[in-house]
Amino acid sequence: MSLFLQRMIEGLSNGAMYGVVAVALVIIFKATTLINFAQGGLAMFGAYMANVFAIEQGLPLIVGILLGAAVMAVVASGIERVLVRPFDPANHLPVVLITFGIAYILQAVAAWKFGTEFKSFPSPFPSGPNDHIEIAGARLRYERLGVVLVLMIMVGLVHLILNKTKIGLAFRAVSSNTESAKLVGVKTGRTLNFGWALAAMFGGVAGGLVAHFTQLDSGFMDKILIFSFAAATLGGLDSINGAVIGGLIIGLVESPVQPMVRDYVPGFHFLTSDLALLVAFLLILAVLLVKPAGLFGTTRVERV
Amino acid sequence: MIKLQRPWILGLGAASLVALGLSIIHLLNKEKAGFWPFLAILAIAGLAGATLTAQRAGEPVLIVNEGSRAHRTWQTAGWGIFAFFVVATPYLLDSFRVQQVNKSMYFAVAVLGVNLIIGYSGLISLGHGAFMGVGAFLSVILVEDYGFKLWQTLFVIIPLAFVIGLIVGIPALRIKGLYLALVTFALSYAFPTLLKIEGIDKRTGGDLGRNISLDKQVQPGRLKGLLGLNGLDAPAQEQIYKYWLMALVTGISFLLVRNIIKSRAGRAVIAIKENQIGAAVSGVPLTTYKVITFGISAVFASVGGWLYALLFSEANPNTFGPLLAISLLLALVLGGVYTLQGALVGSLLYVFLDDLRTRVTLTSVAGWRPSFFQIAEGSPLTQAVLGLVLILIAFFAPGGVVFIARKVRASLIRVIPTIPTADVVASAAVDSPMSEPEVATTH
Repeated sequence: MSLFLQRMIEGLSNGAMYGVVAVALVIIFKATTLINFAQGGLAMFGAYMANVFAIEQGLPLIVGILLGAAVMAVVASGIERVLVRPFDPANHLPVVLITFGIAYILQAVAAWKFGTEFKSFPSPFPSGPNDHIEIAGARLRYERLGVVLVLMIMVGLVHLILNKTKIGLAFRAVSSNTESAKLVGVKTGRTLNFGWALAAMFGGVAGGLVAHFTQLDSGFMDKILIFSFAAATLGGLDSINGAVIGGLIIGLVESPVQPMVRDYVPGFHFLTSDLALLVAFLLILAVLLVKPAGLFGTTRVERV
Repeated sequence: MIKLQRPWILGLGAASLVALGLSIIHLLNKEKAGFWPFLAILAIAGLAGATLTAQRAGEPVLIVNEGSRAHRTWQTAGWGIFAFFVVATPYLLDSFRVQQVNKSMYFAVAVLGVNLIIGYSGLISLGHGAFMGVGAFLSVILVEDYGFKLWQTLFVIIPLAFVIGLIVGIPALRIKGLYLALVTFALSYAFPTLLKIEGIDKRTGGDLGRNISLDKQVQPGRLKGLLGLNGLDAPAQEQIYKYWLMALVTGISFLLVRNIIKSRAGRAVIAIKENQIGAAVSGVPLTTYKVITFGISAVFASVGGWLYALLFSEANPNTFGPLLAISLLLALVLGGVYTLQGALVGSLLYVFLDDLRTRVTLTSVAGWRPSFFQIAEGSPLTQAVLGLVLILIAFFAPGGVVFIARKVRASLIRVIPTIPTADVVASAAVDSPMSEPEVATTH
């Protein structure tokens, strides 16, 4: 039982990281119905920037991660303005090419500038051998609990921004109906730019948190990105809360449920953690087959 | 009718084309670049100059009627030059370059499949690397463990790839939007891990992959003398023999795709891309056509994988991951989406570009050493070139190289199409999905 509780927390904290990246994907999808395949690359680069600020320049780690995320927000807003805005979002191919191009370039630059070997990365929370609380024999480590806390703060923050600020209102208007928003004078370009920056900031923070558990390398966000795709699909690609809950569900399936099935259900001994990617893929397939709008997404009516 | 004005422009264009071809062949065969890169640049400038002059004149240099004698002569000459290159390529280049051409051929067949989806159906797939993997692994496993001959494995691969394509396609293709891209991208990541599962890895070889053992590999057979292989060294013999096998399969694939596109179903699929609602109203069952097209495109990708196994006699799970899928996309857009030639041109360009980026450093191009640009050979930064190419294509050449070539040709030569006669119009109307009687009655 204590082991199960411990794995639950592990699963929840993994899920929280998927959730944060999934929220970043959802923010961009909501406004433009595009999927940003460069999200993983941006998050990866943000983590490297955090590494530069915190480890090499000696700033406090939390400041480093936030600075890294802020740098990526600026980069993403530049990318949106220069590379994405000239294209009609209804035409998917150019934007897919561009986001993959950016992902390639970011990975190449990171591997060139920061090296190809794995780098360890500290956690912003106490992560020593004794930094944990014990509940019913289960060791709940602070570094794990901290990630869940960050997720909650981030989601609260995005709701505050979207519901209480002017630009948030504009963003909601643009995502609900771009044409009408334009007609009433919302500057759609600037609003989408803000959306990209916000999404990249989320990705950057997630990158800084994930790096502690996986180590830094130019491809460390790839796997996370796939899980986040699954999370966003499960929750509904246009629902921020859905993305969070989807992320948590996937984290729980991956960490506590999968080992239990492996250990207690006969015939499933082949389930290993490497298989999680396959599970994520099958989950996306299943969701699209059964409930394409996801758990919390709005069902889009297509006039066909 | 034939009308030729200012023949020097056409001459300049033709001379530039010849110079470009010659310099490419020389650059491929020689390690030392010499003046050939400059000739290539000069040739491109010549082509651009001819195009611009013709465009400023506002009228093409050469105007012919479609189907006229002059037009047919030009066309025959064009096909003749193409046939000459097909036959001569393996004998002009050394065996390493022939292997690269072979590589472009298995790539081209897979890109044909991707083109069916991205170009002709307007959907985005990032999972065709996995379908190639299905073809490559099935051929290696069937040959090694079940005693198949390599050509016999096609009878298993083709139906199976079709079914897998349907399974992946059905959930995603019912909904509009980027969902297919999402599903297939996840597939690209999941596929290598699937092959490494305990149990399955006994067949696939896990991280190390599998080889076809030497005695079962494709060896130059009885046709040696006919193909002019006697007297060549072993690698050249092997590569040229494989060149001919692969060229045969590639040629058949191109013919098949051309016929699919021109068929009733092909035109229906294009109609879906152009206007989904209009196609549905005209009685095209959207999901059925999209899913079947996806299945067919998966088949072509798997045949590309089969050619991969033929060429390299091995298969490794890590080869068929997301990078391959994006390379296929890159090759497709380099050549030109929505064109048949694009698949071949783009694959050739991609394979040679990819080789160049790993072998050539910026400093070695002209001996000029700008310190800012010094990049060591094989540096990870060279991967950025591929990303840069993706972005540049999206901005400046959305139709790829084939589109640019067509623009150049259109500004130099205009072919006046013949007006279809009454019988042709009538038979086309009966054939089109819009006038199907059962569609008209069911609603």
